[in-house]
Amino acid sequence: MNMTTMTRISLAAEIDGARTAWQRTHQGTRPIIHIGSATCGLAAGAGELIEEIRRELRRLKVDAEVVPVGCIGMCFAEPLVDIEIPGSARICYASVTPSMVKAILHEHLVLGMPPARYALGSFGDDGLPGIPRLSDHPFLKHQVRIALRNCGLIDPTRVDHYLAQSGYEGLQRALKMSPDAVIDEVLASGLRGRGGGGFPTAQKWRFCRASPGSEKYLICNADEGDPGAFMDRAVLEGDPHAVLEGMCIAAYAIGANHGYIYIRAEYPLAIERLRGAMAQMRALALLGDNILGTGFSFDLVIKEGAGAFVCGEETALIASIEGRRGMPMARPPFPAVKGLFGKPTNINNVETFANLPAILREGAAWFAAYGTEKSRGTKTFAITGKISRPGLIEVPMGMTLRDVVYGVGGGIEGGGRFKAAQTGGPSGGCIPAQMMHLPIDYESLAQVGSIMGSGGLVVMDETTCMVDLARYFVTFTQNESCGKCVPCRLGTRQMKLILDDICEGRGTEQSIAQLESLGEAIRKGSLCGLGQTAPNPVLTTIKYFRDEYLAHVREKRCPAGVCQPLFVATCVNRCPSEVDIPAYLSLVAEGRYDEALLSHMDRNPFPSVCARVCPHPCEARCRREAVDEPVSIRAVKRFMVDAATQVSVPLMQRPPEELRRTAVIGAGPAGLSAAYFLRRLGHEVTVFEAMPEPGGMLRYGIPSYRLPREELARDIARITDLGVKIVYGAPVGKKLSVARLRKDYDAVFVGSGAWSDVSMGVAGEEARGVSSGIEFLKKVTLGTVARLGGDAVVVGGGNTAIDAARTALRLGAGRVTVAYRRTREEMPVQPEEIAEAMEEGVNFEFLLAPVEVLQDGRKAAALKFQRMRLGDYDDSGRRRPVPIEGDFIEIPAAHIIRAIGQKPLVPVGGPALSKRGTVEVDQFSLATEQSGVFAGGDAVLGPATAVEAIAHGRRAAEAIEHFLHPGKSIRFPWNGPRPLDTAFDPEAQPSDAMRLRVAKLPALERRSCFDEVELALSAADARREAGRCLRCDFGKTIVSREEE
Amino acid sequence: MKKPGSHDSPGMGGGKPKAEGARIRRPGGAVLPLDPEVERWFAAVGAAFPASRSSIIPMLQSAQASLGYLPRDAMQAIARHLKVSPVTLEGVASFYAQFRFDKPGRHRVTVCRGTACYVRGSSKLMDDIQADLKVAAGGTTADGEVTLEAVSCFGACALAPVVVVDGTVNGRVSSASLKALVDAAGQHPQPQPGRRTKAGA
Repeated sequence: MNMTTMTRISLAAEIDGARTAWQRTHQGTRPIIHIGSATCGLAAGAGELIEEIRRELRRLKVDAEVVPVGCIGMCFAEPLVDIEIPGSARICYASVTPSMVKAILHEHLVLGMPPARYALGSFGDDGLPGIPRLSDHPFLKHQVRIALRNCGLIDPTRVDHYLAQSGYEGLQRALKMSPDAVIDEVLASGLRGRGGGGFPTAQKWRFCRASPGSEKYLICNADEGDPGAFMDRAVLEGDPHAVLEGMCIAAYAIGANHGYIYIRAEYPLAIERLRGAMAQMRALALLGDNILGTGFSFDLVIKEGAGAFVCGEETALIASIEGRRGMPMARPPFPAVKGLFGKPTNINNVETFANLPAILREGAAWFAAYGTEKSRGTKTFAITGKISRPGLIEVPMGMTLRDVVYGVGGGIEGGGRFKAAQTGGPSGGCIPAQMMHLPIDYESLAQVGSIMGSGGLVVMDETTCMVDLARYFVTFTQNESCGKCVPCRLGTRQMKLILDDICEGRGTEQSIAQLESLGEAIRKGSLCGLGQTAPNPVLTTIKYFRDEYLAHVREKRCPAGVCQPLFVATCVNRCPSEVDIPAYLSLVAEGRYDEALLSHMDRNPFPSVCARVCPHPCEARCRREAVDEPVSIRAVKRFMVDAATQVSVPLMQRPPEELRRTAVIGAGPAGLSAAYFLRRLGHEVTVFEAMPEPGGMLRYGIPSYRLPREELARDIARITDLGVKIVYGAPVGKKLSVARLRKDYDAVFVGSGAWSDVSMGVAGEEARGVSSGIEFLKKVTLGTVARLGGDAVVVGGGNTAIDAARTALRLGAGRVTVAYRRTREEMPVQPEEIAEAMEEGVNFEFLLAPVEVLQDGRKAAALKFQRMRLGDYDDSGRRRPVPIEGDFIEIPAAHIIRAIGQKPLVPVGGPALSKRGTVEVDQFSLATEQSGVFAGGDAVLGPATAVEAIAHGRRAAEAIEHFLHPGKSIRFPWNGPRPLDTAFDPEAQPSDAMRLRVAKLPALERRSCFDEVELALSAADARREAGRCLRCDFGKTIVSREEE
Repeated sequence: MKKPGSHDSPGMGGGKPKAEGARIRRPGGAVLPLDPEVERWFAAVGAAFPASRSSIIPMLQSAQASLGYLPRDAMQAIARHLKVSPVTLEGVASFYAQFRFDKPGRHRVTVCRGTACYVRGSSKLMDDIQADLKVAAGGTTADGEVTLEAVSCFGACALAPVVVVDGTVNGRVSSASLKALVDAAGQHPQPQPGRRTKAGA
């Protein structure tokens, strides 16, 4: 037929022409400027940028081609502008603002010197000086782009760009094969549905092809309704022809002549791109009657979805196209037999289609080489949430979650800790941090209770509450439930109500059990995928984060600080001791210092100590940060403890028959806090302390330049003034056993701390001059070590290591070096302490692991280290140090101090230990397996902070009270309603003062003495700083304190 | 939230007065003239739709696109044209979140409630804007200025939280910058579609 020959010639000519034009463009003289203009780029300001670039080009009188392209996936760096001068590398500029345009265009186009300071990288293999290769960028390095092969690289509105990238070659090859051969090729590739279920694509096609009937339908499911997913949008906007070519191939294989693209109305740009691409296809005889003269006809209609998540389900989608309510139907019959308008129908997802042209062009074996045995090829993910580099990625199946989150995504935004990843949207589940080694493929995800889904991957850190997250998803599915079947319609509603109860403080442990049984019933009883998978977010969060649920129902506490009714302000919620921070800040602001201190004492008896050594997690959650910077809460507290004159904490008045005798082991922060709160309940308390003076680790582990001894004494005096008795030099163990104490007293609290040190396990460790950090600090306090001659090396990266190094310096050691096996970023110590140590002259060496103590006689002479480098990420999100073979270094030192870990020191005959060497307790009551024996602080936590130990003291006192008087309800005085009467006008403008910096002793002065480093604020400064508080607590009450 | 206005739409038989409907549906089958705006839409676009059931959703979309919502007259016109009963049409229309049956405000503010936006605090954003505008999601302010809506995902998750104001996608929005955006929209008597700006810029 004449027609046939003509169209054939015309496509061949077109492809030829497109290639030549592409080459001419890229080899000519006109510079080409690509701008990422997908929805995401436009939202980031690409539209204005194009105008600005055009204006600037006119001004510079430079003739350049401006090409809007799709999304390359680097949403974190949007808007992106690539500039290519033919003959040299294409340079990608990130986060371009209109004000940067002038410099970039001038330097790159006029001077011919691409400005490296704005460049993210260069495309291709040849870099430019100062500009790395884009393919080396960690975000792109691990990616394999098949479905996204053209996204961000070509102009999606131009078919010639697509043709020049071997577009429609896959279709041409397919049309030369028999439909069955096409299906065989796809079968061999191992391609599985990318919409979520993962059903083998070829198998689905075969069913449809085998169904009797000449009229068949092909549908592209582009109803990307999963909240948190945008893969389909990016493909449709960035490379519409890839999807359309894939549809043509599929239609040919199953024998369909009619096709529909069911796309969300929320994606107007994608619809526009599809319309444009379809018109271009018709002009080239790639769509419509007699495609490429082969006699195969296929035509397409775009159907805009009208906003119903359930229409992602096949049968509901079909109902919607037919003009009915989008309600699913029971299967069988499957759509492959009886689908759209009662005819055999095949439905695939956008990404599945986008893969097909590449598979047909490159062959099944090429595709199957990627991925795992059962999950071949690649998968796109929209990686979002609390991630450093959010964006759209495509990685080989089987890559671990850890590599995706840390390697590609760059870890948690703001340096927080990874908590969980959510895949599969409302139908999926949460994968906790301890499962980060999980390879991402269909089977592995199903095994842990989640699903692949279409590829949404939402990353969460500690500020996400898993109960609230479950509630969020159930609210979504409940809204989206079509209402047809009862388990889904009523079940999701009940789940939502129960989750509301838990989040608002009305839940009980029964609520959790109800959620589990309800979830199981909904999963089994629902008609379609929406209902069957709706419980997944709830069930997986209960499975992996049961503790968080328990905190909500038992303690009415939301550890993440999200569930508003459970706390008055995020700072209070974040404080382990739950000190009422807004209360004492506002009291300080009004000059009412005694009342402020009393308010602090209500929940934490160590205000002076905490004013100095607390790592102030409260400041990290201060809402003031949204305005400028957090309130300097600790500095205000420091002023408050100095300014307050006296406070008297009242003891609870109770009938004498309710009073009991209690014993506490250890006069550290945990033990003394337990004693303080027990005493406030009226009980008699005796503390047994092994050392000659009280304070435990606060006295013997923290140097006095950080915590002056008189300050410690001040806090402890307030506790002993209440009538707490301390017996010194009374170690509990063989002579005075726990069992004996338990017999003599009604309850025992073990707060013996973590005093055991961890050895380095290297040769020569027994040499003279080698000691443990904690032992060293203890001796300094006791006065048995007064001077240090020679150089010192401290091994470790924690608080003890830094304290030991700074103490060694003050004792006159020569050169003091801290050697750590990871890098500064991974050090588990407050950054300001590292900075202070450096200012004082402590030397830091990173990536060193000790291997041998070199001796001079029996004395230590040097420490030999293995040099390390950072390897793969571990489950904590830190990169694991791995040895560099054969690379060693020796650091000469007369004193070698190891501070690489501490373990609890628990009295002989005391409670049982866990595998970690810590006391095994019930995490809520702190009860050990020995009846009447409770434990807390470092003995339970391992080396932790003072404020955590103090919190344990209070918790133990409450549990001991319940133990002593079982079944009796008591209102703990520190849990009473807030009597706060400070003035606050919510309508007034908040203070515009900036955060105050606390002055310090000059480094030179402090390195030779043990005077306190941090100085105090003046009264005026402290009151002004306290006044910066935004009073998030205003008008709020706490559920847990209202009941009982 | 997801289905603004759907459950209390007049056609659900919720006992609301059917003023406009009654005007048209007279016993005996006589039909009164449609609202002129609906008439114009029908003549220009509506009449061209093929009279099959699968035209229901495209036709509803077309009517809403030109009229801003689906007034009773439009529903009547569509039902007649497609030869489906009004209750069938109502049943389909009320199922989908996209369709609205109340006149929208002059400006539209759509807060995304997708997972990424949720994780980055869109609930707080919604609470604040609701308090600020004194209107619930799905409603229109008393002065008819602003309609506040929630959408389940906008697909711009990397820029979360996202708010669309009069068709302009704004990324990384805070409560303060959203207030500024809404105030700025109020300065323009008519929405300015297509003008896309970055939040806070």
